Amino acid sequence: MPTAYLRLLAAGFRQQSRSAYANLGGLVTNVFFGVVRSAVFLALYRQRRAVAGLDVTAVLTYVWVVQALFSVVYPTWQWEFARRVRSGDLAVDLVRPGDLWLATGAFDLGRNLSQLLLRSSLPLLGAALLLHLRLPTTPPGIAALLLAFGLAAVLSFEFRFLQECTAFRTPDYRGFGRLLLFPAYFLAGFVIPVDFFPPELQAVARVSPVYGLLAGPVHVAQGMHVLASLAVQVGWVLVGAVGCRLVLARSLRRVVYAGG
Amino acid sequence: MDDLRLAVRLGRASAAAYTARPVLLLTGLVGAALAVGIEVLGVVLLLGQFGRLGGWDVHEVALLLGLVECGLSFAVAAGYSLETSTFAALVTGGEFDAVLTRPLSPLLWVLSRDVQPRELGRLAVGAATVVWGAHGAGVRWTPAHVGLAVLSVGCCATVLLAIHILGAAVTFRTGQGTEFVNAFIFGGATLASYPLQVFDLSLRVVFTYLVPVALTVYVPALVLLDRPGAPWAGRSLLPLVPVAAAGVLGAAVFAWRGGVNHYQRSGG
Repeated sequence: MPTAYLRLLAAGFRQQSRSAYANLGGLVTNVFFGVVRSAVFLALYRQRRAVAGLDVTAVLTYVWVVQALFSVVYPTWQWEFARRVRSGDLAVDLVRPGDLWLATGAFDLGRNLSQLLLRSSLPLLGAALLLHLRLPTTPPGIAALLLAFGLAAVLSFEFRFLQECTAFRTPDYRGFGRLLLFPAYFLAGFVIPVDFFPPELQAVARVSPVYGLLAGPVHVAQGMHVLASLAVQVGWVLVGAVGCRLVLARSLRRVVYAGG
Repeated sequence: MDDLRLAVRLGRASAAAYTARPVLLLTGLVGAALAVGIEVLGVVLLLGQFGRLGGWDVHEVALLLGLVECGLSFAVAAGYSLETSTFAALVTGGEFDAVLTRPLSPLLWVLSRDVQPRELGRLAVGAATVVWGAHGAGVRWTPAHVGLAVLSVGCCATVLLAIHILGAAVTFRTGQGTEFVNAFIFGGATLASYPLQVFDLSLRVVFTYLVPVALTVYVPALVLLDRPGAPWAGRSLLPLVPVAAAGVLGAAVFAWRGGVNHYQRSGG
């Protein structure tokens, strides 16, 4: 049976790979944001060496890892599951053999692994060549970074899945999504590195469920708190899996699709 | 002029329709407010660590950010139907045929058919940020200064909307959404919310003269803050602000007309 899910993962990978560069504009947007934010941080560091434990190399690494992961955390297919829930297309998924959550997750992960490999890696590699970044160079360091990126993709699926399950209860799911999105992004370190947060907020951010989406992989790339970051990611992936299954089971108990 | 009056009525009606979904409207308003809120919080925390950015303190940078967000709120509220995927669907689906038969200019119809009232949340927090930043930076709100802030927001919104219209004009020819548009709209807005002197000369020139998003915010802010500004983007450019905004809008409308002429009925 696990091979079925692996095939779904491979299918997701293939589907996304076919359109990897269709969204070239999205890639250009990523790069442009990276350039603007790099310029801002370079200006901030002109008279400073290290601030809150980060030097300019570490901060530039932060900028480009965040740009690389953004299309994984907020992929173009966000809300696809929610739309299937509202339209009733989900009924088709429900009569398919196998486990709905695992199947959805395997396909999603496949798509995101394609994003990581073919798309997100490009700006990061480009920046690594042109700027001075701090990326791991030893085999264990590289393995840890790849693991952190993979776990971020899984967490991204779980985070979006839980959000999209609100579609079972309300047609206004996009509104609730927006409400949650921006504080979550901030806490994940999207706007500024979590290292610049005040101590109390930083303590919350480092163990929060969204830490593993952006800030955790950034720390792994910078070679800071590597094991702690991975542990937090693994912990929330497990909690997220249980949460997703509970929410889905409850939601499916009340869903009714009329068919013909 | 009749066209404009019709468009305003249509825009009002489309925005008012959202009151039928109060939960969606309320969550959208708060969400849009939070989107600006986290940016302001980011600037406050960042400058709390570093003190100054390109010589500007937190209030001065916040003033820029607030002006940009106000401009962005109008551009997003009116430009919602021009969003890349929505507009590509309108053109490739053949629905645009029906638009051409309406007794209203197609562009005004597209701009007014789905006005997003949730952008008021962005406008409110953006305006509050302008007031807070200006207060902290010691700006005196003389009538001239108020007029300058309004001019800046209006011109910034005009330029951002013009980029949207240009993207749509391209979609008429390609049948596809042009994601590049977002690099200029949201990327340009992000760039304009920082003091222009921190960027390379090339970026400065592009976003001052070619896609003048930064011009419409940075130059009025220089006058408000009584600062000289960066080379190639000084306060002497102030008269250029409305001219550039009108010019870019004119070019966008011209390109749009070319796009409409290029549009062919897709069948049905």
